[in-house]
Amino acid sequence: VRRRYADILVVITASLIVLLSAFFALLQSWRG
Amino acid sequence: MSRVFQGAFWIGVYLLLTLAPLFVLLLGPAPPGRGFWMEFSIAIGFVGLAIMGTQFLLTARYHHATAPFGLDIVYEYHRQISWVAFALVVAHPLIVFWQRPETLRLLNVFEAPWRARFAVASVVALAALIATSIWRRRLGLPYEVWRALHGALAVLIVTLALAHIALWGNYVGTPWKLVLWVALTTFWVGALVYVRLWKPLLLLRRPYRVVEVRRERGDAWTLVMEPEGHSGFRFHPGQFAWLSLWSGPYDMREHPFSFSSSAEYRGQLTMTIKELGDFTATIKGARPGQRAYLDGPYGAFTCDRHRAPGYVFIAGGVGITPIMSMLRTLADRGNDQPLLLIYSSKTWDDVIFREELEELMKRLNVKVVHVLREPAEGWQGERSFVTQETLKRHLPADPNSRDYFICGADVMMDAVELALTELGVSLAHVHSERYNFV
Repeated sequence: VRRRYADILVVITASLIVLLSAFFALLQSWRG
Repeated sequence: MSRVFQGAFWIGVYLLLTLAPLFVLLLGPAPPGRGFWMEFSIAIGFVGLAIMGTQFLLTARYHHATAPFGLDIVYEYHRQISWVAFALVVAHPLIVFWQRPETLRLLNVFEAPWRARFAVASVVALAALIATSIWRRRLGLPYEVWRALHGALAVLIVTLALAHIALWGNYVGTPWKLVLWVALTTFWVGALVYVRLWKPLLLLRRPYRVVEVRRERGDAWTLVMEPEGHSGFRFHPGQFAWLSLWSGPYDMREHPFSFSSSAEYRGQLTMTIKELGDFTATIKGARPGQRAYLDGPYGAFTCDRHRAPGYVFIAGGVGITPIMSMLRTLADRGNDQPLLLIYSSKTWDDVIFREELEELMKRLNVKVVHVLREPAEGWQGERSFVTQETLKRHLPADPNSRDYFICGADVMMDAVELALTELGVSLAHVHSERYNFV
């Protein structure tokens, strides 16, 4: 049960990190 | 502040720290015409590095940040997120090779510039760090050696990655970018200094003294300790601390053990440790007067955190330790709630705290059910393992009217958790903690 909490946290933070990386990259490519 | 809010706050801090390098992308003029994929590749490279840098913070055992989750979840997250960091730093060059195939020549470390060599070395070191962590036992690495190697590799990975960025030069050119990188690096180094230098110094100033080493049933030993020259710390029953016994806090030889004593008595505290190998086999050799250092308390496995009309404790072998702390504490508090202890041991002679449990039955409203794997002839009680049928025979009619604390071997906890859910117990009522830190 406990491990599942860690799994959920990893999925949430990793998804946010990748999505925001893509967002920043998009902004940067528009600026360039 | 509620635990949920605290947890959300620390997740926000974590995201801010890992995403901070992305702001570097937006500072100053953008390089023209590189397109989304090249920028994305750089972004995930930065973020991969920031995740690795922030790993130092996750294992800094900072009380405020770990409390909402429990240290076991933070360590599990530390392990799993390293895979995400690895995927990002590997994807970073792969996207570059895909977009600009001519850059593949940078993999030739004999002719490539140093900025590329540093990058390759950093990824190789990261792969080595992950491999030595997954296969530590298979590689025959003692815990202390692994821990020293783990720290050294982590510093090497981050240093090499920073050197790669510095030599590339595109993202350190302007003063603000430089400030951001220096601030982040200082933060990561600060976490390392805190863990390896500052915290051990604090522990050194608050030593404990071994006053007794008591033999228990089932090849277990109870270490009784007293604070030396200070008032000790308060803990919640079920929590644990990292114990350094044969060396000072600057050494790598510290191991996590639950307290077995009552949280209500501050003069002495005890840890009960079963002889299982390496460090645990040395406990019986400790002598009264010997110094010990305790880094704690940690852990969310405590009845203080989960108020309920009654509790069911399910223990296997030495997993009784944190549960014994809860039972002793509840007895000292004059608790009269309905309690049930289902306790699995190998034989009747191996039942740790057997006599004291009988005494506790007089002070608490507790029913103790022993489950023996190898019972003697004529044993009338439960036998074999804690199964769904065992639970069904002893749980109250409404199993969701209790909170459950499970502690034992991983395989036992998995089986009991599954059995409880099949009996209709909501997972919100089931608590466990896993000490598999390596």
